[in-house]
Amino acid sequence: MLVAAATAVALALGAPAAGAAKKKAKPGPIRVASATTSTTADNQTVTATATCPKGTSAVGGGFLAGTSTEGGSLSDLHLTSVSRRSGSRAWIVTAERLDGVTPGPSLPVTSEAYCRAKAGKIAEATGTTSLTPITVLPFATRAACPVGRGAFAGGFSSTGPAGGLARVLLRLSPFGVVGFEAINVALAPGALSFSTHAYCGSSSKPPKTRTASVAMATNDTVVSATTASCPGKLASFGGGFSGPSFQTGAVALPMVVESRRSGNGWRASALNLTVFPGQLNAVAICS
Amino acid sequence: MAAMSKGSASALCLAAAALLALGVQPATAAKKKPAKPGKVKTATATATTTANGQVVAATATCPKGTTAVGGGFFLAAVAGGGILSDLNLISESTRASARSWRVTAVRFDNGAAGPSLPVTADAYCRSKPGKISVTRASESVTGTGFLDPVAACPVGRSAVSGGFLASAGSASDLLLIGGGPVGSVGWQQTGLSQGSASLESQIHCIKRKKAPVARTAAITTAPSFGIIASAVTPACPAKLIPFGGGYAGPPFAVAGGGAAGLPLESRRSGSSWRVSTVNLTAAALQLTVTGVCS
Repeated sequence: MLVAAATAVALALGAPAAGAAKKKAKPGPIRVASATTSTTADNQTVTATATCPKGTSAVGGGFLAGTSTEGGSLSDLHLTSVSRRSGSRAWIVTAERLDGVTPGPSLPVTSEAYCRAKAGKIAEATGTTSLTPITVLPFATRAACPVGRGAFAGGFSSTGPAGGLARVLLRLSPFGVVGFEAINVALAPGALSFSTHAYCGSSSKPPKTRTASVAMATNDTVVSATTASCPGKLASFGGGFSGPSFQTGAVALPMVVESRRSGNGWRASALNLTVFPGQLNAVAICS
Repeated sequence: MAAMSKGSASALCLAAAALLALGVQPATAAKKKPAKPGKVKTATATATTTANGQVVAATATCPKGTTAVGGGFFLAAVAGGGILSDLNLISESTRASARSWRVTAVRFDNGAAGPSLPVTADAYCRSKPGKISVTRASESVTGTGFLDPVAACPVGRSAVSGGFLASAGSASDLLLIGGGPVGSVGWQQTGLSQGSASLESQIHCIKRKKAPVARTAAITTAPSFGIIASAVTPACPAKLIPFGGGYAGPPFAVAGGGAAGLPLESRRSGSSWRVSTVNLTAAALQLTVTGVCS
């Protein structure tokens, strides 16, 4: 009797009946949270964590790792080992500084988090490769979203071996619109582990991509590729980069020092570790 | 808007009344129930090689009224005891049409010509499997390098099977060292090139209420060149069928220093998926096999 009365009151007040379709909350505007730390000494490892405002989620993120040249030659750079979501509101970036012969200037390591209120549920998919290379070893690590979800951002995290340029991340980009892949080449002996993370959401429309390419310099110059803006109301929360397929011999080998949002597109910057030509590609995921 | 005559309006009313009387609902209102898929049948085709460098293709064709949902291959070799004398190197295992699966291989004799060796294609056929969409991804290199294309399903679809197509100046220019599913929505193929080569990965996707279920098995072979080893996954859960599958070896150094296996077999075995490889190195080979049950 009490239940019947309560139901009647609820109907009279216009409350939705059980089973009625729940209207999806409209996502808020995008805010960029940023954090920068700096390095000054060879082999120094630092972490920068960008944290979104309360009430928002970190939907994606990116990084910038500083470099410097001396006398026209590359003298100092960072090997980025982590760029990934940390908890629901932060993006974490870890990098190790590698100096040339002499110590260089203070260099920044920047983390960016792309924040949004009511972003919906974000599922994380992870793929991991663990190996102990003896010599030059290319390997792929992939993370695939669950069925029905699209990848709107990606990240990575790795461990060991420390103390030198032991690994180069040649590619971090979406495959299709349902996962993220990383291609690395291990350059030195020692146990290492690499994980690729895909951040997956459900949307009535699958994500779209925008790409841009630039010829890499054959000297120690950083070049950048920046995609066009995402179309319409779509926003770039994630993106990535790629160089040529790995091969020995006369081919460019990109060392990416920046992969982050630029306007409503994506920007990737890289140094070429060889003297051979090749393309650097940037990709923005628009969702 | 054109005016409707009295006559045509009456005719429409009568037609609607007749439909209602017959219990027929308008098409737009009716919810279409997906047709129940039929039983799975395996179609097989075999070609043979007898001479070094001979290229053959075997195409298995499904019966009329059915569709090739997946497929696999088997290549014979003469190997073992530290010797690898004759084998067929696969370059293609692909859904050639809606009803067929094609396998292409080239024979490699190490020394004198050996016996006739079969190249077998399997097609896994089913009626009313639902719409199968195909996505491809390819990579190419011009020298010694690493090829690892991955093809992805559209959002909302999942992998039911996969295939590949390799192209190289000569068969030994591209060693296929792995290939198979990535999660439920991707399919990768891994190769090492020693010359100009390209590699295409193919994924076949369907719409299902439930994601496919993976079954895996892993073995480690003896550290012996030329040894052939097989791994078979556990059976798929009840009512699910392994239409596709694949394998992965350890990452392989371009300059050597690891183990690598060449695939001789990747196909359905009852409700399981079976893979056989021949070890190209003297190191122990770890082999992981995955079957995709859908």
